[in-house]
Amino acid sequence: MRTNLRLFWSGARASWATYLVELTPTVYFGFRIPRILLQSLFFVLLAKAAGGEPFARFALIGNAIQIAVFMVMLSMEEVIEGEKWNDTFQYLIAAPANWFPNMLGKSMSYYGDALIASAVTFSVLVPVLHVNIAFMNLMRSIPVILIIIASASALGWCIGAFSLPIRYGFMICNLLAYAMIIFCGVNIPTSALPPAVQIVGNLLPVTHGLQAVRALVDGATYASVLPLIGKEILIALVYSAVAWLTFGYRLRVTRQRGTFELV
Amino acid sequence: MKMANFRSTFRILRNSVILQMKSNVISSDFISTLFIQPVIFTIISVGTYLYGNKPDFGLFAITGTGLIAIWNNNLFTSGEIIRGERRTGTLSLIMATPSSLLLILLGKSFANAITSVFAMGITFLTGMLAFHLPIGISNPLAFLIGLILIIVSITCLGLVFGSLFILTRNAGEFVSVANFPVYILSGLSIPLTLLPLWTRPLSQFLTPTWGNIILNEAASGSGGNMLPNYLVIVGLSIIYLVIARILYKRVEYLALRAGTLEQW
Repeated sequence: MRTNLRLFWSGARASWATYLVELTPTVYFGFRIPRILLQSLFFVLLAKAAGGEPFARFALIGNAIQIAVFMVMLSMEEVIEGEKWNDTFQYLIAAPANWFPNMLGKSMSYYGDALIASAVTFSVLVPVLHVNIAFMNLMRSIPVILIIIASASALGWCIGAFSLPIRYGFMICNLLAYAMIIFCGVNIPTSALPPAVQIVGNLLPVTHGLQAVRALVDGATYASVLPLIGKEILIALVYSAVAWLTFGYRLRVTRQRGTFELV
Repeated sequence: MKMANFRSTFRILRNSVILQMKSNVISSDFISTLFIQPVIFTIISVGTYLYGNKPDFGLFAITGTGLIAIWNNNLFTSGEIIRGERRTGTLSLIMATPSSLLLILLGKSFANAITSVFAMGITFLTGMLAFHLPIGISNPLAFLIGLILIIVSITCLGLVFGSLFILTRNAGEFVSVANFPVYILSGLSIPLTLLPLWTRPLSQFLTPTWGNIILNEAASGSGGNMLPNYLVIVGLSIIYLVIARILYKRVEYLALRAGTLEQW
């Protein structure tokens, strides 16, 4: 247990160090924050043009969470793929340590980054667009937002693990994250989508969690949204298991064949 | 201009176009922004308008999404061109050659703009297949002229950014942030009336705004005389070229004075 905690901690430190190198204050405040706000603003304005204030409110809640999902998925995919590009994959294979706590630690700063993205979007766009969202209700939904971020990160890990031998992981993740705006009911409710799309949406992270967040923001109790939260957690666990198995498989096969250069 | 100069200029442009097209064919990022992203954006924008019982906005959303794809491709690849040259260690070499980097950038940006026209077709196709929208272009000639002018103009605008990207390693971050303001300010898929009045001058300075107006008027047949709008795009293109030229000269001066590009 202590070893695993130490591995987790060393991964988290590496993650934080990478984060600080990649995101200098100029990049963070000059590019990252504006990007977060403008992407959400675009989709909210689109919804406002289509259906006025109620649509804008719906889209704002959806997009403020979707931007976190977007970022965490891409980051998680990069955490996995980064091992390949940074030539550290072979060390993961060779080291006698358990890779899971270390990789989990390496993801930590990105969870925080995603949560900040969501918080910034809500704090800026709600007053700017004069959208009526009760502050306390929004605060109450934070645990569900964290669950959504965790389940989206599991999907990002999954894509990273699956796409490790190819070079299109980031592209797949990027496109899927945009497609989730459709499938997960970010801009329009899933009930308005064709049945086939609804089925796909129900199998993806975010869909149920987002419905729970919307209900909580509207004043619903936690008891009434427990089934939705349960489904979101279940989906997160399934994707996590698939990601864990797939990445473990990649490590095992690479070790057996001695072909880490090909990963 | 001497005939020999003209020939060499043309050769540089042609070779840059060919080289960039070859790179595009094997670039997964370019292919995804050209073929897949327009489909997703069309579904989101048209789907949102249909859900809001505004099917009349379908064509507006489709042309807007097409322009988003064209702009996206051009901006993204303008950043990628410089970043690619920097990573492969050829940026300094190109700057040191007698051939102007600006000319090479122009050729490469133009290649991107030409190929990105496919995206416009893909958005129309998505609108027809996914939503069964009765989409026809009322004035195809005006649409085509408008599209060509927009591509040239967006290429020139891409050059402005391309010149700036020489002095930064954050071109990728800049590209990711510069997309959405242009979508919003140019009214691509969203009406400009939603924006505050103080943003109008900014919108008017962006060629996608005028491109959006032209393509919508040509497609819906609601436009009268298109010539003034065409002239605005031509005028903007000239302004972009002048800005790009000034910027590039400044960047070139800074690079030569420093004797290196490594510090940026």
